[in-house]
Amino acid sequence: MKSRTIELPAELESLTAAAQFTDDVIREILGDSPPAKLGYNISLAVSEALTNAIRHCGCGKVVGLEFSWDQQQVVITVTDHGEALHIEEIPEPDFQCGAEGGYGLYIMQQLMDDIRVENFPGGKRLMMIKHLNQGNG
Amino acid sequence: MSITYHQDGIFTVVSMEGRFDAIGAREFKKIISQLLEMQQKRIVLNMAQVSFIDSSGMGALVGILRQMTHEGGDMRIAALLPEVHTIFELTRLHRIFDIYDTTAAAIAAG
Repeated sequence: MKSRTIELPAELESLTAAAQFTDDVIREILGDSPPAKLGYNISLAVSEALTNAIRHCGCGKVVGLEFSWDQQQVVITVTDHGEALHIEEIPEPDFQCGAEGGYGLYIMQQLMDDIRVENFPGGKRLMMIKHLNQGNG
Repeated sequence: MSITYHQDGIFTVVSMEGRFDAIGAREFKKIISQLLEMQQKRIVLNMAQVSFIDSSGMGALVGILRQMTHEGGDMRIAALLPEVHTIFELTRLHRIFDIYDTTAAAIAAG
C-alpha cells in the first residue's frame, strides 16, 4: 500500500491546506483526470471528518490526515487528540425540521463504504474506506 | 471563499466563489449579518462559482435562512453546480430553500 500523511494544527484554518493536500493525493491515486464524483466525495468526506476533529480537539493540538491506498481501496485516517467518539450512539440528522447541524457523520457514511473509529487514551482514529473498483464514485 | 454583493432592483445579489466549508461559513455569516444590519433583507445567493460545500456550509445557509425568515426577509439560492446540488439533496435541505436555476430567474420570480 502507498501512503501519504500530513499533520496540521487543530484549527479551522487548516482546512485549506488539508483540501489542497487531499486534491494532490486524489490525483496521485486516480490520475490527473479523476472521476469527478469520486474525487468530490472523497474531498467532502475528508472535510467533514477534519472539521469534526478540529472542533472537538481543543487549541494547541494537532490533527493527522493519512491516505493509504492500493488498486482496490483507499483508507483515509483522521487522527485527533479530542474526546472519544462512539458512532453507534450518534442519531441520524433530524430531516423533518431541517436541522442546522448534525449532518457530518451521516454524509461520511453515505459517501464512504465503511467508517470505523478506534478510541485510544487521549484521542481517536476515524477511518473511512472507499472501494476504488466501482468506477462511479 | 470570496464574497461580493451588488444591488439588482429590490434584491441584493450575493456572489460567492470557492469552497463553502467551515472557513467559508464564517465569512458568509459575517457578510450576511452586515447586510441585515443595513436592512438588506431580500437576498439572492449566486452560487455559480461555489465549487464545494460541506455540512458547515449547509448549516450556515440554514441558520441564515432562519434568521432572515424571523426578521421578515427573503433569501433565494441560485445557480447551484450539480455536485453542490447533490449535497442539498443528500441532506434533504433542498426542501426548505427556494432554489432557482439562475440568478435572473430568482429575481424574476418576484
